[in-house]
Amino acid sequence: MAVARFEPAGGPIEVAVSCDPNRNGSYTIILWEANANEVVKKYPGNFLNTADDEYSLDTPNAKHKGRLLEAMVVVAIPPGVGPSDVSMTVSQDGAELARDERSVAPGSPGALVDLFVELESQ
Amino acid sequence: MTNFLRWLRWMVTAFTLALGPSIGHAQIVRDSGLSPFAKDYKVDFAIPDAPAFKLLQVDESAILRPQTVRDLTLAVDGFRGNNNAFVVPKQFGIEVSPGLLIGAAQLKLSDYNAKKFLYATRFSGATGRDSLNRGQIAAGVRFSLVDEEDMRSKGANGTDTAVTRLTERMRDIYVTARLRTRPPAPFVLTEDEKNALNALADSIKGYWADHYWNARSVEFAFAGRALTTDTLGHNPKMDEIAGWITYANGLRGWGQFLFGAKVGSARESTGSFHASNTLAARLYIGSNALKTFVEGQEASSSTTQAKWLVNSGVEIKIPGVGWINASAGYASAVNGGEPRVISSFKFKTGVPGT
Repeated sequence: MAVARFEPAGGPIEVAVSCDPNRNGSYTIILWEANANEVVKKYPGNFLNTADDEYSLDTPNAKHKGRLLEAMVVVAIPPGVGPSDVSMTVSQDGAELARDERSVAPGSPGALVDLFVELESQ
Repeated sequence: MTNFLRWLRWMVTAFTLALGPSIGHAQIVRDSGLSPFAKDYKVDFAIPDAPAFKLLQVDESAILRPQTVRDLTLAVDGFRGNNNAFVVPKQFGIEVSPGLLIGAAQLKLSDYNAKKFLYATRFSGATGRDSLNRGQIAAGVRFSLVDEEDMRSKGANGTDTAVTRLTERMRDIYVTARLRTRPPAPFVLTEDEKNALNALADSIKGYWADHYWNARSVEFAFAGRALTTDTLGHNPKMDEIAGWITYANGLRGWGQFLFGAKVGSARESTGSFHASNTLAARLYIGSNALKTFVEGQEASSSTTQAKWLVNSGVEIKIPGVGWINASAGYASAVNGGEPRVISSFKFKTGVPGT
């Protein structure tokens, strides 16, 4: 599992989901509490507008230590086109800290891509 | 040859009677999520004539329509006997993609896409009787150069709200299942959730069929036909060879334009071969499940085909069963004389599934 080691005193932790090349799809990013079956927050969205698929986690950053980010992405890729790479990226102050990514084959009418990044403080 | 004819007829009849109608929506039932196998994601586009079937002169149209590959398709024609009464069909055709058919059960979607040209290569065989009750056998091969390449321009690039809403409903089912179990433990879908996901995936496939039935494609094919002295296939004699190339492209969501050429050589009544070349154009209007068409064609230097032809017809999908094509038109007489009425009625089905 990818691990994002963030700076507690740095800027907000950013999490983004993308599908490249873009296809019809939607996602929910789930922020799980550390070591507990508890959801801290959910971030739902879709790929109709690719400019709004990046989210800032609430501050202060220190409380995210040990938490888990999960992106459940469903994409529909028709036959006759190329595959798409679906990814979740965690960054801070413009630097990428971690990424999880899967490729989805064409001809997939609603494939689930389940991505994970664990948050740890430096 | 006799054995081959008997085998081919047996296969076609058995599949048509036994497997053809036994069709239902593909169910994707796996322990979690959707199937990785290519066979579960077939989109039900229309079934065109196979090259070998075309050479049986099931109709007088020379254009060979391109279409997305299927594992196995069957076609029957020649339903009309004396006085236009319906009779046991005289012509049978079969087209198969060996790669898809042999490995269908375990073929992964990713493997299919990696070797798409290979899987889209189809072989066809056909048998029938001509107007003089002589036996006909034909064999052909078809290749796809371009297939559905224009989907990006039809909202597949993330901007289609209808498909996006369907993916949102699928996502919500997955999220509901996930919230019952914290990762890294895998989540488990209930039977109801699996069924709902499969239904939504089928909805997306149906949407694709409606929107991409007229996508751009380019195909070429070759076939040869032999005449036999009787219906048992004795004394086969090469009668015609032909090659086709066809370009098809969509007209927004409502139409498709086809332009094709057929080049070849056919045996004349004198026994010698003569060039038989034809240019044809066809326009489809409608949707995937129901469409009409008009076409026209002109033959150059052919003594075995109509000099010109105008034709129109319909193509209808019978859900869970197959496709019906019916057409009627006018064609010039092959050897002069008055133009005559032509007509055609065909039934086609894919095996297994629609």
